[in-house]
Amino acid sequence: MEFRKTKVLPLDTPADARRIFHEMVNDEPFVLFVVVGAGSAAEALVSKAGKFAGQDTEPRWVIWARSVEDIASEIRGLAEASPGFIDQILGGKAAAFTTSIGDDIRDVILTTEDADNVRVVQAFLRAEA
Amino acid sequence: MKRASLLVSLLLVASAQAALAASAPPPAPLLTFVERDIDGDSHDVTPGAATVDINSTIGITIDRAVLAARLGGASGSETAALVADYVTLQNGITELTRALSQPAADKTGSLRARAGLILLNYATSAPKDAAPTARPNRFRAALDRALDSAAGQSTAAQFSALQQAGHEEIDRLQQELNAALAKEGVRLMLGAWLGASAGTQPVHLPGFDSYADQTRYEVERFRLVFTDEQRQQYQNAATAAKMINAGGGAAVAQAVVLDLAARSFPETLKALQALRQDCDNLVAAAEKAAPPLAAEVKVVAVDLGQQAKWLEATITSLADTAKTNPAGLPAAATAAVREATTRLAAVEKEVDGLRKDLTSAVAALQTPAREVLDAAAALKRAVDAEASTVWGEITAGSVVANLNAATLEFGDKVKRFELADLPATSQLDLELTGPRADGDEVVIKLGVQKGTASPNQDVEIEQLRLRRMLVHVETSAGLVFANRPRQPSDTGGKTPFQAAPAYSAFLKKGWRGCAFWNNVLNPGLGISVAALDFNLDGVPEVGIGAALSIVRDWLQGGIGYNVAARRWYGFVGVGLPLPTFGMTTTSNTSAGK
Repeated sequence: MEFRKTKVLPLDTPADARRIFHEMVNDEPFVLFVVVGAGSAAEALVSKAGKFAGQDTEPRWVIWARSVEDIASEIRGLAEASPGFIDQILGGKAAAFTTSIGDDIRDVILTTEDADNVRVVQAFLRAEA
Repeated sequence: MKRASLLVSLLLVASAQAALAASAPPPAPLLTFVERDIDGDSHDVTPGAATVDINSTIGITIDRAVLAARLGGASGSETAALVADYVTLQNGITELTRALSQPAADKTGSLRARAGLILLNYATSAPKDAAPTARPNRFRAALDRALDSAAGQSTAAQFSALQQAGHEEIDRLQQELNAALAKEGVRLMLGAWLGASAGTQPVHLPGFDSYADQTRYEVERFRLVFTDEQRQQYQNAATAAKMINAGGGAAVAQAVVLDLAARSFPETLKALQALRQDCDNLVAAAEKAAPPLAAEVKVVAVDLGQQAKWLEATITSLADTAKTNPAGLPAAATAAVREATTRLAAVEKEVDGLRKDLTSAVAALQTPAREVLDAAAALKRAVDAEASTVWGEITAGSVVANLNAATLEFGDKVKRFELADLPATSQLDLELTGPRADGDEVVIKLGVQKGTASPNQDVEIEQLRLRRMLVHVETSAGLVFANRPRQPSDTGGKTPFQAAPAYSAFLKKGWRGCAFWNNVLNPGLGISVAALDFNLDGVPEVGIGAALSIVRDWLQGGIGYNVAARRWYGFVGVGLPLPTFGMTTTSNTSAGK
């Protein structure tokens, strides 16, 4: 499966996962689409999000956090556009979320949602609006 | 006919109000207008109190999205829901197109993102249990396919795919909306009317009716011809000038003011006269009742005084009797009481008669008093109505200022369209609407009819004021006051001024978007030719001057040259409508005093 403009966080070194996530969120002017959890559905979503990340020079990027626990402390430190986003992510209800250039969580795609092209692009746009 | 009553303070307030009104944000226009003047220049027509040149062609465009939104409110719930979806998508596409066309203003991409979200939020708005054929789900499926084709490409390509899918869905919704409105029997009409002082007539809008064009009529821009009305005005000015020069300035001023009042406030004057008559009636009724009443009151008052004196004397007498002859007191007191009873009975009768007379007098005054109150109320109504009319004429500068567009009915020759068949544009060539005058008005209305039995409803009304906006010549006639050289017959030390009739021709130009300039200030620059008589020999001398005019030529001023006398002079002038003076004119031998 093709991954475009995607950072896959390591599973074996949680500290590295946290560091990479922190850098991507806080140090880079990126609009991030963060897929959480492992498995084929998550993998497909990562691939799909990469397809809509635009060209290399554009600020959209994708992160695959297979272990959300590894970056839980980082997620708790983020602002959220709507109350409850962080709880949904850390409570295992989120398939993915997006963050803006200003590092706040703008949208959460729930595991119960149909994460089609429309929903993926909608999440990106909510992070850019 | 020009009405003339004007107060400078009113004008200033009017212009201030116009400025305030102009600052309010306009609503999204259903009809947009582009004016193309006879010089070939185009001008956007601002909705609201718009002014266009009297010879222009007006391009009319109907915004289907706005129309659909308006129709949604008047339709059934299912059609209204369809309209709501249509309007949402149309709004999203409009915003997205705008954002994508201004990349420099959208460096962060937030504008295009917000616009794109309008489409995506609509696509994801269906409830979970909604059928796949539900409109949002249908659009979501189409959008998903469109995005598939843009996968792996730039974000610009993704927005382009969004835009394309949005357009296609709007087309589908448009067809569905057309069918729904046709099923409901909704028919649309666009009509135009020309409102002039002679009346209001429908005019031809190509594509929308079967009215015939009128013979082409161009209001000439540079025509130096004086109308019969202006020639009469000149004659009136000549008579007025002779009266003024003969020392009858006050009489002329009074006649002008009365004429203006009669022109501007005819009903008010009638009401004032009625009130005066009713007041006279009331005074007469009071005078009729008052003298007998006054005499009666006087008699009663005198009588009461006499009775009081008798009572005082009787009490004194009884007191003396008690001191000097106590034994005789009972008899004296009994006699006094008897006499007092008789006197008081007479007094009571007099007072009761006075009370009755006063009551009947008040009743007699009630009717004339009521008539006075009614006349005062009628006067107030007349003042309110006519002041409002004059105000409208001042601020709009036209006698058709109060054209009530809502009462204009679509005639049988106006075509009824289904939404799908409604032409999107038309061209109104004002020169094909027949004779027109500065200040006339064109009304354009979009109406809707739901079923053949229901009445028409106005969806949008636009009123365009016709003005001579391009450079043109206007003529006028009036009075000028020129400072002439002193003559041996002059007395006093003041500079002599001489009144004289004058014809004027002014170059003028309108100012689009400035109602105060067009309707009130209306300045002009030109020449004035006056019939002077500086040497007071009764033979007219031609004076030619450069003149500036304001307030629709009512006020003029400038510098002139008396050709015969070979002298320069300064002058001011008035172009107010002058009445026809009936008095015998006098010679001009004492001018300037």
